[in-house]
Amino acid sequence: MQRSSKIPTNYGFTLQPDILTSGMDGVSNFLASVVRRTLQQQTPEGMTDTLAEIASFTDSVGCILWEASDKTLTDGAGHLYVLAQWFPSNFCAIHNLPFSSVTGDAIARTTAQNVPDIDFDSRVYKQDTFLSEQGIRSFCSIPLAMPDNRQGALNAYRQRTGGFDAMEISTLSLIAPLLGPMYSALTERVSSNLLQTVARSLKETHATTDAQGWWQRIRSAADDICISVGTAFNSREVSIFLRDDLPIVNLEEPRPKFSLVTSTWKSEMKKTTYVPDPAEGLTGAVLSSKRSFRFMDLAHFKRDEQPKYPGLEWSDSLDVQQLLRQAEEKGIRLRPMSFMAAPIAGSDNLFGVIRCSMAKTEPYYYTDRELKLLEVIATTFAAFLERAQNELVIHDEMGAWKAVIASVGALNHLVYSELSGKTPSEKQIFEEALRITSTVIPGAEIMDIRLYDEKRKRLTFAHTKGMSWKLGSQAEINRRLKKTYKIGTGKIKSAGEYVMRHHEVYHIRDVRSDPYYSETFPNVRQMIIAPIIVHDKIYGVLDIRATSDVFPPYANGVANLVGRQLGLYHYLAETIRQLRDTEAELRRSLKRVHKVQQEQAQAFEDLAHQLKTPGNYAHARAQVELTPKALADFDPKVALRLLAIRGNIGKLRRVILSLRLLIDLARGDEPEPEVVRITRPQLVKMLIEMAVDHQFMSDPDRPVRFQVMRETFDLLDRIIIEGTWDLLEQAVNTLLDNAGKYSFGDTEVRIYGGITTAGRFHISISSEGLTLRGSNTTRAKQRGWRSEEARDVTGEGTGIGLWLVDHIMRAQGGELVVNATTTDGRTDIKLVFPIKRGLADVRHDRGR
Amino acid sequence: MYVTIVEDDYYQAEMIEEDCRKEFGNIRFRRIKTEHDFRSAIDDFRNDPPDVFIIDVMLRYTDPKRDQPVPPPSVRREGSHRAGLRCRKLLAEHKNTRDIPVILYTVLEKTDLAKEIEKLPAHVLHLRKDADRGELLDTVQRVRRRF
Repeated sequence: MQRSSKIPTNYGFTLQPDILTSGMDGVSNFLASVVRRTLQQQTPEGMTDTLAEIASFTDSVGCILWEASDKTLTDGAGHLYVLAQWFPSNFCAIHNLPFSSVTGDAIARTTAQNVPDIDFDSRVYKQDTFLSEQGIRSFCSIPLAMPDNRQGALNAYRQRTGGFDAMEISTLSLIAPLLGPMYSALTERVSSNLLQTVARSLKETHATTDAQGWWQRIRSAADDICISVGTAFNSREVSIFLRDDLPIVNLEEPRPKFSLVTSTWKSEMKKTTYVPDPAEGLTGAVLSSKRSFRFMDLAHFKRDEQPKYPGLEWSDSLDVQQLLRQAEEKGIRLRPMSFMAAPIAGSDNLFGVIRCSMAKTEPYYYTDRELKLLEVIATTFAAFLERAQNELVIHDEMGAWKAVIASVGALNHLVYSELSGKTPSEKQIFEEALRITSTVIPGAEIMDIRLYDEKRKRLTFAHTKGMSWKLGSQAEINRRLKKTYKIGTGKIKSAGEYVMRHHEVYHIRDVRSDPYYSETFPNVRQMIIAPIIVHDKIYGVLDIRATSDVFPPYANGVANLVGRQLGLYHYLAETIRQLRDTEAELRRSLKRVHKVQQEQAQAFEDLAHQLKTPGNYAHARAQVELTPKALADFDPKVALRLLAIRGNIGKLRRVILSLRLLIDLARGDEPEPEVVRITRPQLVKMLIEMAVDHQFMSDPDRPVRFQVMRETFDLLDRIIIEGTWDLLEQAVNTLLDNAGKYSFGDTEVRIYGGITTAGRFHISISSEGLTLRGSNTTRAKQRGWRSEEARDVTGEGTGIGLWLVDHIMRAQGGELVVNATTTDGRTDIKLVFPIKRGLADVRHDRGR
Repeated sequence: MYVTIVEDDYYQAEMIEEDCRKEFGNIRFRRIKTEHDFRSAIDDFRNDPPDVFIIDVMLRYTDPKRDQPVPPPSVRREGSHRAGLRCRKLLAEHKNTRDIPVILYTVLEKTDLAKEIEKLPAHVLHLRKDADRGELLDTVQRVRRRF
């Protein structure tokens, strides 16, 4: 603990500590007691008790622990200030001492100085009345080392002349080296306690996320910090100033205001708001430079402080010099006015400043130790503010997004209602979208939706919201709304054009410095323009402006979402409008087509009618004239050709009948049967004639025989079935046509009748040819269907044959039944008729 | 003279053959009924080229058979309505048959085949089927002399 193993004195000898301590149990015990007591202290002023004990032990009237100021040792121009002092009569005895003094001498020479009589030592500083006030006649000054390589001295004072003898000085010289480390331990404990208190206080400040609660939380934390710092440093004033616009949204705000949030100063403050400007006093200088300042004593600002901070001007707004003069006049020793302040600054943000001034007790002066501690506290508080600000921003943002999501759901409902109407209107959709935007984005006061007019290549107003749009005369309002914005390909001239060309949100944080901003309304501060877009198709822009506030960080995201929703709605509205137009056009076209169809149907009907008579005539003649019997005398080859012609005439007649049926079906009319009883002789005759025709029409290279199994129709004598001869003929002929086309060569087509298991009468055509699979029996009745194998064997055909037969049979109350090819290779197709009356009924009728 | 007729209607083929024999005397005549038959006979035509082909345009691919041949996918895709043109294309693929006169004898009008006809070489002619086969016989006579 000692700086030297030998203790120099101004008596011309050196004391040996080991000699002094040997046998001096009282000194050892005293030292142990002093160290123990000092280490129990919790505040810097605890050193006062230590000095009181030293004074008592050394029979002194008082003791002062001095520390040399920063400049003292470099050029001798500094001064000494009191770290702690004890006098029984007047606690506040003295505050500082020039370096050219006995104490300064002791420090400069690093040698203990003894003044036996103050009247006879010219080095004694007598300008201060402290010695006479305390009745001091002699004293000694022991140099010592203070923390951080600073120098200091322990002075002991007596009210009698004679000073201190060698033994006493030796005793004090043993005590003095312990004071620096003890003071250091004390201040470190104070520092540690302070940091722990502040950290605990900030940790215990509960998180709240509503704006008012948030500010209360910040104030509460600031209060705790001020009180803790004030206690640790014994400061009369500890104040915290914070930015008015917390949480900070606009980082580019040029002159933010910082107002007093809390202070330990009990009287009214002269100035409670600062801006970052050196002209705004020392607090303004801290805010402006974002660095800390420490002044030992404002009373000596110009002498001691200004040289340390070149360029710093202090206008003495507190009128310290005047106070000093007044105090001198009244013989009052003014306490030193030490001052220090540190910026509360985060990574990007300057939140405020914390300042301390005027200690209540010694030490009156803030040193670098206290300043560094204050800086740590300021940084800790800044981190707390940053975290709290982020929490609030995140909370606000989450709230905003929740509101957006809920609103978009409602908006979608509105959009559905609007767009499902006869004439979809976007007016209500735009109004609601802008209302949501103004609700979710604080500060969104003036808004509009501009849509792109592709013909004019300009943005034009589609909808507006906000009082500002209604300001001024009607002419002014109209002029404003008629304004358009050109969208070109050259140099961009407006923010809207920028968004239209880049398809991204554009945020003007300060309209005064933005190249694309043109004023429509005065007092606008910020502006967000978002694209109204779907995928890469842009329809226009959403424009949001703020006058009294700045937008929160999430405003861009919300604007982007609303813009994209609007894009989607506009796309839907446009598509629906186009679809409606197309639908209307289609209706008109359908009407025209229907009319043409009617005309065509009429033309076909006329044609079919005209063909019907000659067709029937030719068929009847062929049936009569071109019979095998009549052609018996002809060359067989010629006879066969004539019989083939007869078959083709029959086919021609069937085509004419089919044409008529097709016309009816195309009109949506089912065939109208003229129902008569189908009698056996007439049916068998018809079937035989048809069989003959088809047989003669068959390819001689691939002969197919058509066989009517007459006896199977005998039961028609016992039952009654009804139908239309023309339709029946058409149906049977179609089935025979198919049988002829798809049968293998040298096979037989059988035509037979019978009763189905369900008790209905059937006329069946059985053939041996292309396979009809079970999976195709239903499709076979559909219009246009033919199997691939069937297509391969027919160079003609439309696939409407069975479809027509199906209609014919249903029109007659019957059914077409298509059976799959059986394992023996035969395909059976049946025309099924309900039996109107059984044999018993017929007999019963005849009997009556 | 060696005439090949590609016609799926038996009676029409028979009458054309009769008319040709009457008009041109003792000629060789070969009847082909389906596209499949034509494809099967293509090597015969290349080895022993006819003097003239009379080809119907709408032809079935085959007659119904128990072992019915399956047509190539292109035939399935295009259908039977331009089968005669496919036969003509096969002739154009070989040097021995590509210059043989072809009469496309069909019920289709020229306008129905406008696209196909404009791409055809001069020795492929379109002739509409008519009850009077004089024009067909004249055309056979003309192309036989010309080419």
